Amino acid sequence: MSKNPLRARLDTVVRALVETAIADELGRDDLDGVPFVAETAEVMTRRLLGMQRYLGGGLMMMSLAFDAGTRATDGAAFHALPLARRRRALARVRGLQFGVANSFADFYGKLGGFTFWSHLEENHALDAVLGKGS
Amino acid sequence: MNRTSADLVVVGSGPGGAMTAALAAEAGRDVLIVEEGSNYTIDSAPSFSLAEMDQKYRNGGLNVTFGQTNITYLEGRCVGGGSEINAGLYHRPLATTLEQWREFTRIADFAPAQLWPHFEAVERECQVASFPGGNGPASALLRMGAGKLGWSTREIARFWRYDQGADGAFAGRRQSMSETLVPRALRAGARLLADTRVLRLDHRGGRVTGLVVLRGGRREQIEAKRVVVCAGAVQTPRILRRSGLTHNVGDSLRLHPMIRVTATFREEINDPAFGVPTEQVDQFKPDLTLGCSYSSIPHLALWMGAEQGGKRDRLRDYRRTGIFYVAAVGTGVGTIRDLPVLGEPLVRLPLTGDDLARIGEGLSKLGQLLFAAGAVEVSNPVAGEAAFRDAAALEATARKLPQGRMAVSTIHLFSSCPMGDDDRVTATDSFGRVHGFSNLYVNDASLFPMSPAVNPQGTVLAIARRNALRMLGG
Repeated sequence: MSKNPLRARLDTVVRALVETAIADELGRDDLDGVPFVAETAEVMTRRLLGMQRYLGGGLMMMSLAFDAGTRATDGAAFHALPLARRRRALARVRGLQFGVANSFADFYGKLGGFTFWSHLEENHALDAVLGKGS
Repeated sequence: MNRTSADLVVVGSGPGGAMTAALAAEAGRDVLIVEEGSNYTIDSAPSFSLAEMDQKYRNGGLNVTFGQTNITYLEGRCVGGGSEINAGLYHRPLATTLEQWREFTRIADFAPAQLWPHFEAVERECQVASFPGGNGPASALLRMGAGKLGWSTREIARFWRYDQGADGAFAGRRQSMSETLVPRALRAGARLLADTRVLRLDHRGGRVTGLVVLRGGRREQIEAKRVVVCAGAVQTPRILRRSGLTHNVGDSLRLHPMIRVTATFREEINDPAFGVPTEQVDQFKPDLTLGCSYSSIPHLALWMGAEQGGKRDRLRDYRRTGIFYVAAVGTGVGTIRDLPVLGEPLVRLPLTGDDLARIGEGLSKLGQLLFAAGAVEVSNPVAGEAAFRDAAALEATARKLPQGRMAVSTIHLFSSCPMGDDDRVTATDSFGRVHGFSNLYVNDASLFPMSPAVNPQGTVLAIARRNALRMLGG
C-alpha cells in the first residue's frame, strides 16, 4: 500500500534531520559507510509518532516547516541540501537560544545521537565508526 | 461491555501497587491488579537500551513538564512500573524529613519510630543489598575527590540480588517489582490484567462502585468493592480528575530536578560493564546529592557537549570519561491537567530561581570535586557553551545558570495527591483514603507531602506497606 503523501514527506524530512544530527555527532560532512542511519531515522519517526500528540504533532509541524523554510534562506528544501549546508542550517537553529528552537534541535541532536550510538553499541558495530578496539 | 469483579482492585503495579496487592492477596482478599503497560520479564531487554525504552517507558521516555525550563521526566509503563527502569537505589529518608512531612500536612501516626519497622520489612523482603565486589572505578573516584575536600560519601544499596558463580565472580539481578512483589501477589491468588488502561472510576455517594477500562481497544467494566490507585505521581491524579475528584488532586506536584555533566580524566575511570556506580556525596543532603551515572557510549554522547569536531575522538577514549550528576530537592510546585479533546496530560512546573541557585551550588561543588579528583575537562550543562578546564570557570557559570538552556531531567516525581489530616492541603487522609470516600485509596509517591530528599522507591514501598496494612485492618 502506498504511503500517504504527508507521511512520506515526514519520513524524508526526519531522515534528512537525522542524517544531519549523525554528521554532527561524527564531525564530518559525509556519511559514506556509516551504518544504522536508516534505522536511527526509523526509531526517531517512531518516537515522534509515539509521543503525546500535542508534543509529537508540534515537532512534526516544526520539522516540515523547517524543511520548507530553508528554501528562503538556502535556496532549497532542507532535505535537498548537501549535508554540509544542512549542518550549517541546523546550527543556526541551535544558535537561536529560545525554548522551542532548542527543543527541536535537542530532539534530533541529542535523541538522534543517542539512538545512533545505541544502535552501534547494541549491534557491536562501534568499531565501524570509532575504529578498532572501541 | 464485558464485566469483571474483584473485592479489591489495585490500579498500577509499580512499587506502591505491588506492595498493596501482595499484602492484600496474602491477607486472603480477592485482588485484581490493573496495569496499563505490558507484562515483560526483567530480561526482556537490556537495561537502558532502545528496546527497553520501547517496551517499558511511557512514550518512549519522552515526557516533559512545561515552564521557563522544560524538564524531561521518565515514567515506567509496564508491569512493575518505575522499578523496572530506575537504578534501584535504596535509601531511608532522614528522620527530620519525615517529621517535616508530619507537621506540614498533619499526618497521624507518622513518627519516624513508627515508620522504621516498615523500612526494615522492605529491606528484608525486597532484597536490598550492596555489591559484594566493590562499587567500581567511578565511585572510587567520587570518593577520592570528596575525601580531598573533606566531604562525606556513602555507597548506596540497591534493590538487587547478587549471586556468586563457581568462578568467584558476582552476578547481579535487579529486584524490581516484576521479580519480587508482583509474583508474590500472584502466588497468593491475585489476578493481573496487563495492557488495560483505566478510563475512569464510577462512584456514588462517597463510594466507588467500579472502573471503566480500555482493554484490547474495547471498553470494559470492572466492579470493585474497594479501589487503590497506585499509578504514580502523574497518572494517579489524572485518573482521579477524570473521575471528577479534584480536591487537592494534581495541584502540588514536586520533583527532584537533575543535571548531568561529563568529566574526562587522564586515567581510566569508566567501566560500563560495571553498571550503575552507587557512590553518592551525602555531605549536602537533604538539599543536594552528587553522584555518578551509568556511562555507556550512547549515554556519554547524550550528555557530552556538542563541539564542532564531533564526538568521535572523545568517545573513542570513553574509558577516561564518566557522567556525573547533581540532584536537587526542587522547590517548584506544579499542576497536572488533562487537555480537553486530546485527553493527554499537561504538566506544568516552574524551575524556580531558588532551584537554579541550588542546582548551581551543586554544580559548583561537583566541579570542585571533579577537578580535585584530577579531571582535565568537565562539560558545560548550558547548551552551546564551551567545556570547563578548571573549577573557577565552572563556578562562574554555576553562579548564574540560565533558564531554558540546560537539559534538566528527573525520574523522581511525587506529592500530587498529598496525604494528611489537614484537608485544606491534602487529597487523602493520613493513610491514603481519599477524602469523602469510604473505599477509595491512593498508595504511591503521590502521597508524599514533600520531597523525600532521597531516591524515593524505598519510601514508596515503606509507606505503601504502612497504609495497606492499615486498610486491611492489620
